[in-house]
Amino acid sequence: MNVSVVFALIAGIIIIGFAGEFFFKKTGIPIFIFLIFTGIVLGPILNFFPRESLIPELSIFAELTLFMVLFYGGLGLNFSSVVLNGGRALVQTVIYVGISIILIGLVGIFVLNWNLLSSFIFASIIGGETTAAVVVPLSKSMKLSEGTITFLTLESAVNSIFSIVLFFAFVGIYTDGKAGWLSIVGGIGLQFSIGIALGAILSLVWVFALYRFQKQRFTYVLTVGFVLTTYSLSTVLGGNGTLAVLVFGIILGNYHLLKRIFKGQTSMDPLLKQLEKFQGEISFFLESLFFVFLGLTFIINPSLIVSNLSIGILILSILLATRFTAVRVSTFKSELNKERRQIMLMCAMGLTPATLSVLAVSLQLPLSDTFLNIVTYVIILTNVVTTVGSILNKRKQTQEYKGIKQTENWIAPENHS
Amino acid sequence: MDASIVFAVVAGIIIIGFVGEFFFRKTSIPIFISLIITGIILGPVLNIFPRQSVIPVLAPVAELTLLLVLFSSGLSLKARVVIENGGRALVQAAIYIGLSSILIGSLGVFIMKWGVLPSFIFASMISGETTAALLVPLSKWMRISESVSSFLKIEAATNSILLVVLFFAFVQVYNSPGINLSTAFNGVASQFSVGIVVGAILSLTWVYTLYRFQKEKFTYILTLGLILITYAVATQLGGNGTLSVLVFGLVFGNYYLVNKLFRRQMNLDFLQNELGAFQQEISFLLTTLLFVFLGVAFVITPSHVVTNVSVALAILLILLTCRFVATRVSTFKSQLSTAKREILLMCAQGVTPATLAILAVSLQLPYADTFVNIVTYVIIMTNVITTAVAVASARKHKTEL
Repeated sequence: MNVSVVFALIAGIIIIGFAGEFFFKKTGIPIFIFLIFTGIVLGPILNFFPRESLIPELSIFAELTLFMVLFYGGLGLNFSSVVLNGGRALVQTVIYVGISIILIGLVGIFVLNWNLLSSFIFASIIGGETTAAVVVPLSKSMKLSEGTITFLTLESAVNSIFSIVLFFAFVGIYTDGKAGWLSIVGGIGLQFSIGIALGAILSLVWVFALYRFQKQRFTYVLTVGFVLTTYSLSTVLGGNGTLAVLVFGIILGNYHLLKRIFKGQTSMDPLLKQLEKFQGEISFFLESLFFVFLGLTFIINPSLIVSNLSIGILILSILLATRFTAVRVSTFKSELNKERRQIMLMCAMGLTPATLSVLAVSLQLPLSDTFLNIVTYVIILTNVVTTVGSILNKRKQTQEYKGIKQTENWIAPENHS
Repeated sequence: MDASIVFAVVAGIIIIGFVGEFFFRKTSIPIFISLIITGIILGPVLNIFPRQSVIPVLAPVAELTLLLVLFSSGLSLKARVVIENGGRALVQAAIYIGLSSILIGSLGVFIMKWGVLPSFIFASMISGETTAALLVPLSKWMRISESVSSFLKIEAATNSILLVVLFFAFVQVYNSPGINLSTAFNGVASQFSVGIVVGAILSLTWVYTLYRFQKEKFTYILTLGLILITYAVATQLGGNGTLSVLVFGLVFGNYYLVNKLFRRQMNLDFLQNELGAFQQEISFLLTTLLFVFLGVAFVITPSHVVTNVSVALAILLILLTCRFVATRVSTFKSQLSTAKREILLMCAQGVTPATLAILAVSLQLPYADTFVNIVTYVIIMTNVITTAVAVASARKHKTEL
């Protein structure tokens, strides 16, 4: 494709994304839903970008976007909030992923009449994921409390690990006929422990290196280089790269805590402020492109719209019901309880289900084409739900603001008189 | 290729770039050489990135780098400064590029037998560029006077612009086969005029847009979007997109003239400073990758090494001779003539020839592979000369102290 057309498309996406920021401020409707539809129009409908040729590059781009967004999210998280809400986010993930996979698997067996393994492969593709690309920026823009932002960010980083490990475990059973629970639990444990340990070690190294180099030029690009190293090293060693990058971001963002441990005189606030600003710009750019790419991956089969949409709605109901339960349990007796509704509706899915369903097709698993079609609808529907959640939140905030204004107006004349 | 390997390689390149930059500040040995060698190792030697698979990525990266370089050049060329101090630098750039283009073009036509147009396309890549990325820090390192440093800066900003304009003019003529010379030149003129007019009209709109939104988040990415859309609109309307981006940079950099013209009170200084810091980071990333790509695009043909190195040496000789003449003329009867030797030997080439050589490969121009190789040699040689001068000058300074 001509370079000028590619540049025009990228420019268009940037401008839509930028305009969307204003639109969001006014209406509470996040722009990502429009960007996804732009992708659907450019891809499945007009076929400007043939899907097959994009898939190999998409996986690299999706990985890059997810960990860059999580790094940005991590930079802004407060360490004590992470410690306070980390356990609850894990409980939320285990319940949401676990129960939704069981229920969707059962729907596959008893409603759709698929066999046991196919049903659970499908369930592991679609059960319990939330995408950082939506959750991290949207929770910040919606001005949710610090605890809720931390909770949602951690959940979005962790749930993909469960989905991916379970997917490969079920595929392993399908291809080799073996894979025990031990290997599933071991796989998840390994991804967590290596990811967290490596992220922590490399970020400590980086905090001191950054302190040493803070007066040099190009510290932002070098930090990105180190983030890429963290991701790659963690993945190569069997850990979860995305989680490692999140941990890296959290420790870098909370570097001041290291003063106590190392008794140093490290003060890098202006540098970190600038890093966060730059990272915000880059994350915004990557997210905007990501949503369009997400739309490009969809498959719309006109003859199956009604049946796939019905199955999609059924799965969405299961996901929402499960998420309701998971949120109830995980926010029990906590400050998070106040924003339960927002947490529940923040269920937008992203590229993990899309990538796993494409992988199912390339592995030639039975029913994989059907999986791909249904996954498309579920991703769209969950994003619509999150959009509705955002609009409701905006309305609530506006009403609260009006309420405060009215009270002020009511009190002011009285005081005056 | 696995995502983690791609990210690891990019991370490695960034770290090499940063270490190279650090090393450059300590020793004045330029980063470009180590990046090109990294590219040669990753590409032709180890075949980790096969040349054919990298070529489709080269065009957008090279174009984008070029757009950002030209936008920065436009931003930094303040009309007031150029009018006050830049006359001699403009003379220097015009003579150096003009003479060296004619001589290198003639070398291509009469000795290399490449034909007229390919020879002059090649000449427009390699004639008379000096790279600001190297010269600005080096002039500080060598404790060169402020006036000489400013002279070199304006020269570097101007010569990139002239070369890009020449390159696209020759490519345009090359891409219009079978038409006579006057029609071809009409085509070039119309492409340039459309580019300039579209660039000017859009720039005025963009400057006002940026003024309106300068306090919002994501202004750098918005500016990038505006650069890309300027390029795309001008190209689609039949103009030269690169030139229109340059016009955008010039108008934005000299927005106070827009204020005078339209009687407005816009102030974009804060935004320009903010953009400058981010632009530096992104340009560093892109140029680092670009030089590695240049190495990846390098073709190792043992039987051609001697010929290509000899051609590169001949070009180096031409460049030094032309620069000698240009420096003599431009510094005539001026304080600058005391630093004539330093100005002469500050001839390190960098981003523009590398980008244009890569573009030639992706545009599938004739002899493009040979051009890439010769350009690589010339970049290395000119960098070695400038480094040697910088080291000698710093030593002399220490001894004097």
